[in-house]
Amino acid sequence: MLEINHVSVEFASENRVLAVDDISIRLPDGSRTAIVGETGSGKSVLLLSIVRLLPRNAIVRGKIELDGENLLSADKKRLQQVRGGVVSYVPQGGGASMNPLLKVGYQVGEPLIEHKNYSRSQAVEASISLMKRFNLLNEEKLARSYPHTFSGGMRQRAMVAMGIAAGPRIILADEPTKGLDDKRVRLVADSINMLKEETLLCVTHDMSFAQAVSRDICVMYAAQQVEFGKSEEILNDALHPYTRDIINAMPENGMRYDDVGFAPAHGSYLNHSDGCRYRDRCRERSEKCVIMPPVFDVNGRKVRCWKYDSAN
Amino acid sequence: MILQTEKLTYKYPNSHGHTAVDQADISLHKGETVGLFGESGSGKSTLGLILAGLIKPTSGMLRHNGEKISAPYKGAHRRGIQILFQHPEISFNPALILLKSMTEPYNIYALPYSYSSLLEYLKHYGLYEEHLYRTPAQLSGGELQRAALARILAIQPEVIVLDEPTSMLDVITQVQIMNILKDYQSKNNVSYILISHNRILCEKMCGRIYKVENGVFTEEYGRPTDK
Repeated sequence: MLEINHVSVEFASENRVLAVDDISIRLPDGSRTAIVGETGSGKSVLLLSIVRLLPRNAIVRGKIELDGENLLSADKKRLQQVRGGVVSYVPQGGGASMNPLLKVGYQVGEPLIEHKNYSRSQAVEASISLMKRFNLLNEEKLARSYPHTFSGGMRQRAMVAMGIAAGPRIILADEPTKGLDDKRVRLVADSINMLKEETLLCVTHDMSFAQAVSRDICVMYAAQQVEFGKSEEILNDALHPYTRDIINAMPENGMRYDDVGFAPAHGSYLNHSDGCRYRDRCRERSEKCVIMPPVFDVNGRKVRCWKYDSAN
Repeated sequence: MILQTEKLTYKYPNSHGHTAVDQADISLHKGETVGLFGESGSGKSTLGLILAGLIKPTSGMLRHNGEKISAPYKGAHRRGIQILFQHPEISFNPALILLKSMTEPYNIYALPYSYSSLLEYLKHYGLYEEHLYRTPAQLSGGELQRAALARILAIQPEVIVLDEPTSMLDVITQVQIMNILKDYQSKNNVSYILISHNRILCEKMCGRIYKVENGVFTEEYGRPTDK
């Protein structure tokens, strides 16, 4: 069980930037959760805070508990064991995510050398069978190739293979389909769905991909969680006005969205007045929205919007 | 006809003669949006780079307003044909604050502007004074892409090649960018080439679509042309 408990992340720079604002998510073993939100909403920063890979000027508050152990106070040695061994972070498959000088077979198998004392050749063998599991095709040849010869979709699936190499129980995937076309998005979703036992926390801006790989969806806006619920419920009957706007704006739903305004400059919420952060863009705002709404419970679903205040 | 290609071909040097663009004949009229739709690797972005004058075709011809042109473009061709990339961060110098990047087109083309007129202009793109003093790394993907678009539109081009302009962005930002583009087109009669792997997006935005497979560009007929 991984428990994210009131986690906030702030970057100490000239102007303080609040990237994650008091997020709590419980991930029981075997759960599959997607975090959906626009770029700059803080979702990737939240993932990185779990494996403690944030830059030095990041200040993380709250607790991140792995079976009761607070990872935020774990020492370097313990973190090395956790990363890749228990909790695996799969970065975006863009150009910078693999070492261009190392062959893919070695890179995919490297977690086994680090965590399971495999020899180099054993690790390459294992990485071939891992890639076979994800049907990358021609896996022996791929293992001897360098990352630049891979397409974006192949690289992303190789990254997932690398992520699960050492048998972690929890997979954190960061935008695994960004920029990929529909066919390749489906291939990545298939690869992720092959992982049956692992706990999944996947960050994406693609709502249909989120639905394809997750059972629960957490919607983030401007560093906060605005809605949490079962994926089906969110897709069919979203509660928060922002979630509804996302769903209506999807191409398959006709790209229905009339500009009301743009998001506040990302990370600048500390300088903004209190109140609901979506209110400038919200079609359903009321006078109450100048006060920050708490998270309301609506039949087991969570939503941060005054519309669901039962005191109404 | 604002842009027209004749048997435009691009072969990668040293890649076993792989033909990325195979004798493409495409045309673009004033004020229209034409889609290049295909999977990744089909050659649509390579054609986009050729049209924008960033790479030279191996063979074939390209005309802008009837005039034969070849890369690197000069004068009116250079200003007239612009490209918006999929990854907005590569369009910006990472060391410069946004203000410096946004004033570049005005300085290059000696266009009049003032700090307050720039602020007023950028408002339409959801960019405000606080954005101007940040470096690209401190801006979100959506903010950067809107800034890249604002910078292109500041010089009033005739043609913009839109290379997967929203595939890295969330759906709301995607609609916002498409709305900015449509609005600008209706006022300025600019032409767009939209490169996308998303069929629904292409159909929504484009009057005509070329389907791209293995470097072959085929115009699709019999589609409704309303936008």
